Amino acid sequence: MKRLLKSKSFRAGLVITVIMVLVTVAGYFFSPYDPEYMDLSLKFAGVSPGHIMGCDNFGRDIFSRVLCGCRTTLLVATGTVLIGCVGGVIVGSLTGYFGGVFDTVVMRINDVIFAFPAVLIALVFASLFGNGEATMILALGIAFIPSFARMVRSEFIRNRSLDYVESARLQGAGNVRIIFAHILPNAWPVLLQSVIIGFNNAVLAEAGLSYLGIGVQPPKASLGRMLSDAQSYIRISPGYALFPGLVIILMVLGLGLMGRSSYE
Amino acid sequence: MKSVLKKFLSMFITLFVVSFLAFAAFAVIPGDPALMRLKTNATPEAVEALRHSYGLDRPFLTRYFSWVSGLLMGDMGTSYTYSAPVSEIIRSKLMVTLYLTALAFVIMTLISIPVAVHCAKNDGGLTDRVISAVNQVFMSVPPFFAGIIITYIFGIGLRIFVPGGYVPFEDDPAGFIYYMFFPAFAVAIPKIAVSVRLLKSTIMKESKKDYVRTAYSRGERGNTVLYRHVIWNAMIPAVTFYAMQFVDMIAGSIITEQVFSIPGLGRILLTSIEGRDYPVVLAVLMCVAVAAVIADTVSDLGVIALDPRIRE
Repeated sequence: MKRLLKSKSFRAGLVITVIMVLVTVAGYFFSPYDPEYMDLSLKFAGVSPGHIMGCDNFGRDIFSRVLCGCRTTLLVATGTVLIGCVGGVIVGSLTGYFGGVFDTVVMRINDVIFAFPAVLIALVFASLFGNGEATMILALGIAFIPSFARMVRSEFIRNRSLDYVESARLQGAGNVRIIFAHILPNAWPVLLQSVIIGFNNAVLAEAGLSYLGIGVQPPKASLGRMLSDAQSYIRISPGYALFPGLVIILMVLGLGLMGRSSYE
Repeated sequence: MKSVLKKFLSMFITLFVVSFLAFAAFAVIPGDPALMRLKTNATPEAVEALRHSYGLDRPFLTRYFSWVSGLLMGDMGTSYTYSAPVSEIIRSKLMVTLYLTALAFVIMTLISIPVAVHCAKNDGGLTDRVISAVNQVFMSVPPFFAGIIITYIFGIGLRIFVPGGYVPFEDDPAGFIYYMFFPAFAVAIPKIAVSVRLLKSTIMKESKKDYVRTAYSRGERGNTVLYRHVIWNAMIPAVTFYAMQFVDMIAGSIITEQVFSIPGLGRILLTSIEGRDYPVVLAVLMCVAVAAVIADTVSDLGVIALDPRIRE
């Protein structure tokens, strides 16, 4: 962690991410306007001190909607990474630790899921279980399990024959204790890196899906959905598309900078 | 040779597993497609008749095997919504998406390799630092947003192309590529950034190895060493990476098609998801699975071709 904080790009990424999260959380309590309030006299209003990102085709304040969309994005990304990480740790530690036929079979299924783009898995889930935030989190979470599982598995394979595991076993520690109390803490640095990259990918996946109209349903705001609405009005009001897009880029950029330095 | 056969075998096993998992997922979910099609006021006989015509009254395994054997013959079943063969509905759309993805892949490869080589040669120089900063930003741009920006700048601002315009490949190949170029570029942008970085770091890693020093000490010039040895060895890990990017770009294409209103898999996938037209969704899923598995196998074969050590 100390080594990470020394890296310039990690600090830059951390600053961007922390600011984004703080603004999003603050937006929950102090949104300048109601994100769903329409004032048709302000239709396509430009950037002004009152509306720092202007207004959309219904005269809703874009900044308030962006804040609301960020919240959705962060919520979905957190849920996705949580499911992916917990599932990945379970799958990866068991397969890596025990090996054998169990490992071969589970990793084969793992590779199959890994081969599919996460967005596509989420689309299939949407057709199976209907459209909505919960479906999207579940689908993306499952799609993210394999990448975590791979990382954790290779750490377990590397560790399981090391001396400290052997001595723990000689002291009478059971398999569960060895997995969770001895090996898992050593896999933390690798896991942290996967978590950051996972967040990065989850934000992008959420944006893509909500652009397609999967996930959060209107009138609730989401960044991707705003972009798809804005596209029809791009001649009249380019700012409507520009601001939500820039916010997505900033979020991904912050996480990307952190992720990059964590494996350099 | 043996490893090549093994790759093909594992390719078929993977496809088998995918098809089974996908089919099972669609079979176990609650909700009867026949009942959904006919709404609630249908007579039980009518529902039963429709179930029979969909083949839903047979046991699960029978249905699975008849579906798989159909797939092998190129028969993907019948769409619930359009009552037409699925293969007819998606064939042309699949080709559009694949062309788009392939074009994006070509753009990515053609740009990323020279740029990465340049950056590796001038590591730490001004251009390298500028490119790596630009890269970090481009990597964060979702392809559909890149598409919107490109539409705005090149379509509306500079008027180089007509946003939303499209001609089928069969009618006018040149026009098709002209309309596909900007969407493909949008799909490629984040991938170019990612691959420049990866390729640069593998080239840098490779050029620190002993054999490179040996080559220099034999008196070979810097460029000869780079182009004859280093790049080829650096390509070995990159080939696997490129294959993964290709599969990822299929998803990118499906989303970006919506920006440019290209009649590819995206639209049909979205409408059949909304209408719960499972045969179509399953078919699209299998097509992507086949593309993914082929990309993976080709990259494995590429690695075998490039790396004599694993050729035994």
